[in-house]
Amino acid sequence: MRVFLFICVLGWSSFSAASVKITINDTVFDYEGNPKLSEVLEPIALERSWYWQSSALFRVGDSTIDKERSFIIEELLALTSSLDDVKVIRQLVASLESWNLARRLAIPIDFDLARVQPKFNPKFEDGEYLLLLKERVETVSIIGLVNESTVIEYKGNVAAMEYLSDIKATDLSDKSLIYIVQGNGEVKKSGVAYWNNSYDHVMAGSQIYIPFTESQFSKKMDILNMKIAKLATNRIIK
Amino acid sequence: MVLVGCSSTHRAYLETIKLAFQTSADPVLTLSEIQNSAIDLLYVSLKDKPRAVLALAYIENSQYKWVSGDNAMLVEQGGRIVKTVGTIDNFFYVTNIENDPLAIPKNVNSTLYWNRSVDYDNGLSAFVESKFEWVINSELIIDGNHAKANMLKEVVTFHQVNKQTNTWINYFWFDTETEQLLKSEQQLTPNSDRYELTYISRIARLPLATVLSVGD
Repeated sequence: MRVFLFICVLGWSSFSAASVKITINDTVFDYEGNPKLSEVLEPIALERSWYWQSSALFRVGDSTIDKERSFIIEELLALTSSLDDVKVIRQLVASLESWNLARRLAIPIDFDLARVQPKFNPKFEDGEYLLLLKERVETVSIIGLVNESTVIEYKGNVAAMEYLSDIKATDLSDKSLIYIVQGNGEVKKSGVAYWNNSYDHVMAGSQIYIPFTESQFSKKMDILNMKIAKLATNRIIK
Repeated sequence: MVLVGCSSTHRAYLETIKLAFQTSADPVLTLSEIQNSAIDLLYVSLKDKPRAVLALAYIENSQYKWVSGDNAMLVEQGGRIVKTVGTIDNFFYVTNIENDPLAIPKNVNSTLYWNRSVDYDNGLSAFVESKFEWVINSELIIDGNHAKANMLKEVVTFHQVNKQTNTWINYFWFDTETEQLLKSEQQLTPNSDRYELTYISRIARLPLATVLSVGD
């Protein structure tokens, strides 16, 4: 499904006057035609030992992502009338406002995969893109209902709950759940209490979103938490 | 014609190929097909699955990238599988690969240890330790055919997220004369099937004179 959606976005252009502009990390490439992903990756794929799982393609100029952020911020601000800790909510709003966002396209970025499996090697439709190729980092970003968004050391092969001791979560946060925003763009809601521990893993370079307390009787906060976590997949983190 | 060498090993390798092609469920190639192939070929076997023939598609940054007919890719470096694409248990990154003792097999001894993290598609990142041991003139068996090779045993300890550990042994067989890697058996995770890699093109290229000397 992810691939299908991406192909819909990128499309199959037959126009001769194509214009594709791709910023790969800090270098801008202009293409007269509509290159395939493998062609775009070829000049730089072997330069370093890229960590493909965290590498990502963004569509530049898609304003819908900013609208999504605005809607989420509106929901957060509406909470200030019903929740006690206004300061924490305003901190979260400020954090979201500071995020550098662009629409992340749901396609794995992997030079080898693109070359051997045609469905992962789509053509770029006309437009402007940002392609972030990353190396493996030994860090995890903590976002959400924490005193301060921070970056902590990656712990490797430990369950997600092992990160909690390094996180100063606020009183509004759910103490039994986190949302793992994996470097590959997948979002997973993960139990981290002794009674619901799902022993999920965190990829190097991922984000952990500390969510609002969720309720069995209302899905309102579940939905808001998931919106924030999914918004985080669109962050441009260099 | 002067034929040198003492190697029943090489003949056994070639016999192995010939016989391997006669098995029913697995792909069948002739020795001449392998020798005449412009592309290096590799047999890859997994438990209970038909053997696959992979072709060497790319050599990049010291990595050999083998591709199957159904668009799976196996990437190996120094004989070690370091990435898989399109398989069941894909993993995609091995840290500290630049210090893998397999890169220079002749320098490997029993005092060497090698640590790395291995990252998998499902988010798992495992800490893995290895120690090594040579077994000289070991028996190499390919499809029931026996030969001699130098075998490198790699004892792998895999640290689970729940603090438990699993241990298994990987095997790498090297030609006693050319020191080329001819075959390996590798396991990627505690519960995954073992990969058996047989470098059929390398075996087919072993010195003809030596091969023909067998039995003379």
